[in-house]
Amino acid sequence: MSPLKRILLGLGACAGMGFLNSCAVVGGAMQVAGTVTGDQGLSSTGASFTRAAQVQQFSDEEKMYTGRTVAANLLAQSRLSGRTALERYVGAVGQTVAQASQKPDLPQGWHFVLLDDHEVGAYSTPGGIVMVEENLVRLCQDEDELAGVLAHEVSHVALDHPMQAISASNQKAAFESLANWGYSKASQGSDLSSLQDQFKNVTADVGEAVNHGYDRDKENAADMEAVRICAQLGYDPRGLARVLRRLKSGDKSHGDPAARAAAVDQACAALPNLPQPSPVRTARFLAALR
Amino acid sequence: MRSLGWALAACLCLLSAAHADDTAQRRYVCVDGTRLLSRPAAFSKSLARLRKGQSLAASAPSRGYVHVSVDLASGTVTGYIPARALQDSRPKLDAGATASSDASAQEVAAATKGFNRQIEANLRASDTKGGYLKLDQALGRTGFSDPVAGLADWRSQGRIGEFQGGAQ
Repeated sequence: MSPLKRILLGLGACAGMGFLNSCAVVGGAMQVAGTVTGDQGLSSTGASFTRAAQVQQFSDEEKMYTGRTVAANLLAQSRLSGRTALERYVGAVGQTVAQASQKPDLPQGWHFVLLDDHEVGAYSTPGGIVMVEENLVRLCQDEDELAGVLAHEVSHVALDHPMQAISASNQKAAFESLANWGYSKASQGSDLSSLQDQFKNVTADVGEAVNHGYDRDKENAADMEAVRICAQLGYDPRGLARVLRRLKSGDKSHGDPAARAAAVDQACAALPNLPQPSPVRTARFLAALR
Repeated sequence: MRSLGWALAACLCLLSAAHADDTAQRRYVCVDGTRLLSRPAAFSKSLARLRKGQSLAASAPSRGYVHVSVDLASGTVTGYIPARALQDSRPKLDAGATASSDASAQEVAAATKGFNRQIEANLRASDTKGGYLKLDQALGRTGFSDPVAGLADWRSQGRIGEFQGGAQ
């Protein structure tokens, strides 16, 4: 973990259950009866629409390679969990919610990697690599809560939030570099070097966002999309609110967890018929944790 | 008189069909392997896998899905795909792509460049912290070749699927 992240985590640390910082789980652009499309989530303002449109210029493969490098940088400072059965279970829940997301199909598929850094957090990289700390899984009390957390992370990727973190100047430079490299017949040496530099800048911007989290609007958007996903699948969407209430108010720039939990509950209250937690799901969640 | 009625009915059908075509827009699949679904629902039957760059006629998105009509080798197939698997312009090809029916030679050449395997390979060569090795290890054990079919029993046991009473 980066020193900055450790400091941020330390500042947000709380007694007992801990908190989410890098990505304070789940969002707020709920429209009507729990249905929010990605387009709505991305176009709420003129500025975000423009940025979203620019993001479209990166292909899904470029996002994937960006995400792979961001993940590699994160993993270099993290410990992979040795609990493969728990990782498989988290993967099953994650794959399930990902299939109900707006991006079920990705070039390298979705991956849910379990980390053991004694922190509470989750990191979603472009291309669908979601890294989840074991302590975050333990913060959940049943499968429906875990589904809410993972649906929130999946929604960040599906809504392109990591790539929107690329600064305008780095984005422009990257596209110029890509264009030069892609169409120049003499694309060797300096062109490749320039492209590689731009790639590093892009992965640095994305890595910063993945590590330290997103602004309140993006967190809210991911929250609302998670509510939609959970409700559609039959998971109790209020599970996300329950997890949020166990978090301490850390960095308010990600949105106050209590306020976000209230927004999630409000969105759930507007749903015509709420799924309930299931004993079977809770039993297998507890079995996986053992 | 009766034949005139039939002719009018036929004209109306044709006009109706033409109107339907007008509302559909030519769009392109941007994610290789996108599933063409029988219903606008995550776990509905998969009718085909679509290749990146496949062009199709798409209606307006509704609740995250788009109704599409696509010409495949087996004929024209209609179904649904997630709205975010489509884009308005033909997508850039992937590294290693070969010329398809409507890709120019320049596009194929450009497809071998960009943020791709080559860039990653160069970074890997200078990776002294072992991040990429951990990445390989992690991805090797967390992939699902077909999460829809492979987890069907697991979902069924937990009564997870399309919840009819919720936000559809």
